[in-house]
Amino acid sequence: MTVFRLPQIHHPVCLGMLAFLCVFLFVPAGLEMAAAESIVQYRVNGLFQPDRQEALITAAQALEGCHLTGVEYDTALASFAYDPDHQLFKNAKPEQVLQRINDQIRRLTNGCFTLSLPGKLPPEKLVEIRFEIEGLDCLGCSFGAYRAVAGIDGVERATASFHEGRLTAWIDPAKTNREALAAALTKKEIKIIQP
Amino acid sequence: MKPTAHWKQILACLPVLVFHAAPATAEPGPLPAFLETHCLECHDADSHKGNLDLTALRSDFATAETFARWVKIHDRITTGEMPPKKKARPEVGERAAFTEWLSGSLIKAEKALVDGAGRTEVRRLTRTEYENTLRDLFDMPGLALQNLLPADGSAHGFDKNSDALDISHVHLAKYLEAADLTLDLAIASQPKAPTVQKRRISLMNRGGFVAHIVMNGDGVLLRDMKPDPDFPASSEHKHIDQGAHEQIGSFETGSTVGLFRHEDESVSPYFMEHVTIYPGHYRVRTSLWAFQWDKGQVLPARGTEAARLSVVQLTGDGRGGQHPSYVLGYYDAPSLSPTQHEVNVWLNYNELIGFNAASLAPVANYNRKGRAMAFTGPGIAVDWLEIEGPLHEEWPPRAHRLLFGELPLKEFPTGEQEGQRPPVRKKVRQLGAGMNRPDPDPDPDPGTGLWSVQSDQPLVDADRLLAGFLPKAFRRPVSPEVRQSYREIVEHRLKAGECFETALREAYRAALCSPDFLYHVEPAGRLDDYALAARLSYFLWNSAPDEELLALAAGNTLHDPGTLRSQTERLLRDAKSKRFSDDFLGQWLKLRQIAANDPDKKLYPEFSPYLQDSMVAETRAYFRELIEKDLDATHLVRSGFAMLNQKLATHYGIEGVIGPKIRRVDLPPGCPRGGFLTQASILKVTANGTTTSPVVRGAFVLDRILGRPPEPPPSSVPAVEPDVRGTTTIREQLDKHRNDAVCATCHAKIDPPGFALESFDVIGGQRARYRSIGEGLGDPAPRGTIDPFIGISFKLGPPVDSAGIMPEGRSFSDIRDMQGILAEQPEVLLQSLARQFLIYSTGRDIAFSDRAALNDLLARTGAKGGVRSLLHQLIQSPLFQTR
Repeated sequence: MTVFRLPQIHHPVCLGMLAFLCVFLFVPAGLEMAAAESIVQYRVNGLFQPDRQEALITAAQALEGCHLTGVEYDTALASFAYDPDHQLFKNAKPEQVLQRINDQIRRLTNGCFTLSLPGKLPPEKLVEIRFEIEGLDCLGCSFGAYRAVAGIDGVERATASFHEGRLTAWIDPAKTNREALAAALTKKEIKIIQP
Repeated sequence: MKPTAHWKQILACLPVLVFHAAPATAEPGPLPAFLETHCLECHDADSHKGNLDLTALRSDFATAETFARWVKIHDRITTGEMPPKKKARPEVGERAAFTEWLSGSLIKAEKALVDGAGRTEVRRLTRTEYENTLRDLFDMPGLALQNLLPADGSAHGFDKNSDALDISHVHLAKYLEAADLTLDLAIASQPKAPTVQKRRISLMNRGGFVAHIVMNGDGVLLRDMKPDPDFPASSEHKHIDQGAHEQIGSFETGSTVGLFRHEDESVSPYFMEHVTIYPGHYRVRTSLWAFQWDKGQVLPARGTEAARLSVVQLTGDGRGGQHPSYVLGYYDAPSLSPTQHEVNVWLNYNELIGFNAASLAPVANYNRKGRAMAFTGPGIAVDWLEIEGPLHEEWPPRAHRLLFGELPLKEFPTGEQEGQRPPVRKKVRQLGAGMNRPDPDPDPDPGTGLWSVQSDQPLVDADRLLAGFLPKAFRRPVSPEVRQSYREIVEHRLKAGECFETALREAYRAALCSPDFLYHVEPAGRLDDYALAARLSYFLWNSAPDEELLALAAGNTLHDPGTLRSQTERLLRDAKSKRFSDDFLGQWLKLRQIAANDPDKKLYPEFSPYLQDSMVAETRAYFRELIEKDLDATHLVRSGFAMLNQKLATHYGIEGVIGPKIRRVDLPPGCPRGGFLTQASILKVTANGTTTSPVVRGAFVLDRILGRPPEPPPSSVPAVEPDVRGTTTIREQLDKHRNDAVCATCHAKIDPPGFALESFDVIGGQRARYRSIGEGLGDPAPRGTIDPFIGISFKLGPPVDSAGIMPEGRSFSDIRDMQGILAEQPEVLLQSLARQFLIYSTGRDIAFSDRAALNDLLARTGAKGGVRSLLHQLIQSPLFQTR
């Protein structure tokens, strides 16, 4: 499995300046990158279990004009290198770069993964909310539980597994709270085990 | 003759039709002495019993109504029904002299009426004939046109009758539409055949019903005949969020889909990943098996189950399907033994394959506690469905070659032929959720991508092609003048700037909407060989004559009795003769009305579409068996065998029949099944879904089986209302009705067969007691042969009394007695069937003057003669060979 880490950078603009370093320091053998490529980092939505990394990496192999250089499950962040001279990215603004890579990722994964800008709140400021849940041990159901909360404004990251009987979300407390998440789960008929 | 000239010919016939309907002006003449002596006492102006006043009855036989009255008088006196037994009887000789005089007068009057015009009036093709004719002409066997056209009327029991086949501006508009649709499909618009796509599809489609119900416990996913470990069966928890499962690919794992319930109003499974884009032949294969589900375990099944494949037409927007367009068949699903079935089918645009776990009960775990993991019961597993097509033996297809021969398809050179309009093409696109896609435009670089038939000598080619096409379409030779008129259409369109394809297409369109195509063209009097070929093929194939028949007609040899007999045999042996049996039975025995009502679900919970389809299949197979084995007419009412599948055999209480295939089954002694009379289809079409009526069933037997239709009910007498609460039997209700003197005479004839059939319920199940749903009424009902997974809420009410007395005083105790009584009259049954065949095949009712010829053909068939023999004798008779 091709999994590697990049330093956590919260603004994609900074990444361009670090491209040179990335090429030499972080790219593992077998992943070559042209010197002219730019690096961007985005939040990955849909990374609700560790093994979903592999699905993302497999799908990303078909990307055009860019490629996945790293993905980190613990932060749900992924880095992409793209060719600014490629027709898809020529003269593209930062938000257009995101949109065009996201469009490809969404299409290649049938909407299971999407990309967005990383949240502005530092990880240490996020609040971890944990639910013990009951349901069928099925990838689709776990994804369904994840989808129930991941779309709520203020949820920066979530994981879900009925196998482990757990759903965890990292939230911006200024935007949402445990009750809102519990309501969303209940609406999907997911049984929450009260502590 | 111009294409429009035939319309003028048809209009010229109108005075004949008007003449038929014109009121007679003749005053009543003096009554014959016989009537004055024996009839006038009861049928004078004062008494006019039976609403007959002989003093006011005209004697010129000029109007249809007067004529029919005299025929009735003739028949009542001939059979001895009149004068009534309690009155003085005329001498035999006196009676014979009168009936002979009356018969002669009636025949003379009738012949004068029809001389010159022929008995069968001008008639167009029925919807079914029209569709079949175009299917055969263009070799497009699944072309669906019937539903485009207005429904046909019916006269004397059949839609083929000239009295019912009117035509209006709506018809003409629809014929144009149908011709366009046909030509669109027939004309090749690309240089290569559409790419053959082969796709293996799961029933667990994205966005489909099946995924939804499986997620909720009405089915499971299986792998290697065990529960799929990646998709646990639903239990206290169901699978959540269908969209999430679809996105992540939960339904694309190739797992087998096991279902626990059959289709109903809320669940219609389809294989949604193929929605036809290119109409044509497709090869469809599927793998099916059955299992017993026991709370998470897959065990051997209770037996062979049956699954249905059907063709479903998506609605216009491609979003959903309606009831099956037609059923492809019912297929075995043996226990734990995946079995592949293959069927070749024509699919039209926007059609897909539907599925029904037909033999299962309407189980719903959906909201049941524990769902699938708490369920023990039968299931049907669908491993996959494979669909391959469109399959073309040649390209361009035969339909295209019929229109354009070997002329080349070339890319339309817009730039080089200025002023010539290109043909109009409809954009091919995928409307539904199908994964099959249209082919990319053929080699668009650097051309236009628009391909069309090209000709270097358009008018010469058009004339040659029309010379080949028109005789086939018109079912007879076409004169040079007629062909010239179509050639002129081409010439006119070319001058107007149309391309060759469009110009010639206009001529074909005109031909397909012309009277020569739409009407049965038959000369008055004896049919010529072409008319005979057409009458024969529209009888036994419900379609146009093929090349062999036309060749015999061209050689003037079809009238030869030996040739005609061998051709009749050839047509009967051909698969296309199924069209005759289906169409004839649909009308004679009213099978078209099989779905006219849905039986009450509380009273008849065991009813299902599978049972209904099996009923129809039985009657069709039985009729074909009568023809195939040349069985005699007593088989209309009694037989030692039946044509059954497992569903129907179970319904009839007959053991040892496994699987959905219909086969001949010998009946145990004393079993009343066998014969149309006790077939579930007949018993269903003569019931209303809730109750049975001896009157309705009795009238059906008199009319359809015995050929002696009863008088219509007087408008002043109200119908008997059913009592579904079960407190009063229909017999008790009818007794009051029968005690009315006005009603008694007719009901004495109508009711007895109906009483005998009271031992069968509205879905053809045999019964000793009526079912009831009234609270507190009746006894608990035993389950009997009803599937253990079907809930029962009805009770058993009053006992059924199926005994009665025939009009001549003979008593019967049950249906077996009644079958015996009816079977003692083989000549009556044979005559009845012969009448139905004659009306169906000649498009007219049996005239009074036809009786001698009818009796002659019956005599040649013999009372013990079989149905196939009857068909031969009928086709050889002057009744069939004369217009």
